[in-house]
Amino acid sequence: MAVYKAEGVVLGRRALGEADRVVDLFTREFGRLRVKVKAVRRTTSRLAGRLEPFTHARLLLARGRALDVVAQVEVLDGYADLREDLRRLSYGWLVADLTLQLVPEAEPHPEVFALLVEALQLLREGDPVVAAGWYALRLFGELGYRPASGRCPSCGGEAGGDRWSPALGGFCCPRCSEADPGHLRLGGEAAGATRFLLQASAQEAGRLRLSERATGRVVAAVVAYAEARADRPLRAAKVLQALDR
Amino acid sequence: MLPEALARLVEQLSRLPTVGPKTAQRLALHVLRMPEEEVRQLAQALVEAKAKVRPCSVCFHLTDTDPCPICTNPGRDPSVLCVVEDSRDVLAIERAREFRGRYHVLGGAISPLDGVGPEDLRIRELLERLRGGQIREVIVATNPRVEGDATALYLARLIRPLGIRVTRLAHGLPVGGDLEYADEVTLARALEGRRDL
Ligand SMILES: [Zn+2]
Ligand SMILES: [Zn+2]
Repeated sequence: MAVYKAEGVVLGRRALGEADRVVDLFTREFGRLRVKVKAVRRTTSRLAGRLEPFTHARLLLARGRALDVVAQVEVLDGYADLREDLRRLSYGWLVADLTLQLVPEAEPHPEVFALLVEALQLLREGDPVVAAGWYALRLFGELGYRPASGRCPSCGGEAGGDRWSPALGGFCCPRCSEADPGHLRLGGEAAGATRFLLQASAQEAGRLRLSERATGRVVAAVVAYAEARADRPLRAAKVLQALDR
Repeated sequence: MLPEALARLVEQLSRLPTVGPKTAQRLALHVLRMPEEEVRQLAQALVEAKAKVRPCSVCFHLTDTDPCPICTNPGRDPSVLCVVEDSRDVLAIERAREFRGRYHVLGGAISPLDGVGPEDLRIRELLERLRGGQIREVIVATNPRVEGDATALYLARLIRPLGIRVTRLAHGLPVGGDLEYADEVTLARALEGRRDL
C-alpha cells in the first residue's frame, strides 16, 4: 500500500463506527486533511493519546479508499499544558474552528500551517484571547481576504475610526457603516489592537497587553468577520461565551 | 431483488450504529431462520425497552424504576458522587465493583466543535444535588480526552466554591499492557500521577 509522510496539527475528530475515528488534520504539506484512525477508541490503541486535538505530530499515512489511514504518529508537541487551563483550551478550540471553517480541504497552505503552530505557542505562553485574535486576522490575510484598515472597502474614503463591518470587509467609513446594520463599534483600544494584530508577528502579538473589555471586542470582531466569510456560525464561538466567564 | 418485507428489515437494521448494509442483510437473514417465538420475543424486548427505560430523575442513569436502584440502595454512600459522561460509563465503573457511592450522568462532555456547551449537559441538575448538602466529594470520571478534561475543569470551577472536594480519576497505564507500547502522552500523565510505595 502506498504510504506518505506529513507533519500536522490535530484540529478535531469524531467517532466513526464502533472503534474508529475520523481526524481533522492541518498539515504543512497538504493543507487540511481528513484521515481515518482504526481502532483508536480501544484503550489498547497506541494512537489514541497521540491524536488528541492540538497535538503537533509527524505522521505516516497510507492511501485508503475513501479516507487515508493513519499508520504511525510521532508526537512533536502534545500541548498537554493547554488541557490544564480551560481558558487556553477554549481559545484553542476557536483557533481550530476558524481553520476548519475557513480553509478549504486538500489545498496546500504552508504559510497557514506556520501561523497555526505559532498560534499554539502563543496560546500556551501568552494571552489566549490575543493569540486567537492574532491568528484569525493573519489567517484572513493568508486566505486572500485581509480586512481593510485604512481605506473604506466600499467607497475608498477615510476609514481610520473604530467602525468594523464584517459584510463590507473590515474597517469602513462612518457613512458606509450606517448602511450596514451588522457593523460594530470596536472602541479606540480594540480598533487599535485589531490594526496592530493585522500586521504583527507572533512575537509582537505576544507583547500586546489589552484590557479585558478590548480583548472581548477583538474576538467579537474576528468571529463576526469569519462568520461572514464562511457564511455560517462558528460553533466554538458560541460555546466560548459560556466557558469564558 | 429482496422481497419487500425483508428489504424493509434490512433498511431498519442498517440504521443502527456500526451496522453496515452487509451486516444488516446477514442479521435480517438470521432473523428469518429464527423460530417464530424467538422473533416475537426480540420484537417485544425492543418495544418494552423503549417504553419502560428512562433516565433516573435523580442521577440520569438509565433505569426502569424511578429513582434507579443505585440511587435508592441504602448500602451506597450518599456523600460521594461520581460524575460520568454517559450511562455506559456507569456500567463500566459498576463492573469494577470498587465504587460504593452514587452517580451523576452528564449526558456528554463539553465539545465546542460540535456546538456542545455546558448548558447542553446536566450540570444545573448536578449543582442542585450538591446544594442538598449531603455530598462531600465529587469524583469527576469524564473521559481522558480534551473534551473530558475541559468538562472536568469547568465542573471544578463551579464545585470548589461550594466547599466540596473535587477529584479526578487518575490517568494511567492500562493494566496488563506493556510500558514500551504506551503512547508518550499517557506515559507522561502516568508519571505525573505517580504514588508513593
Ligand atoms: Zn465608505
Ligand atoms: Zn439514579
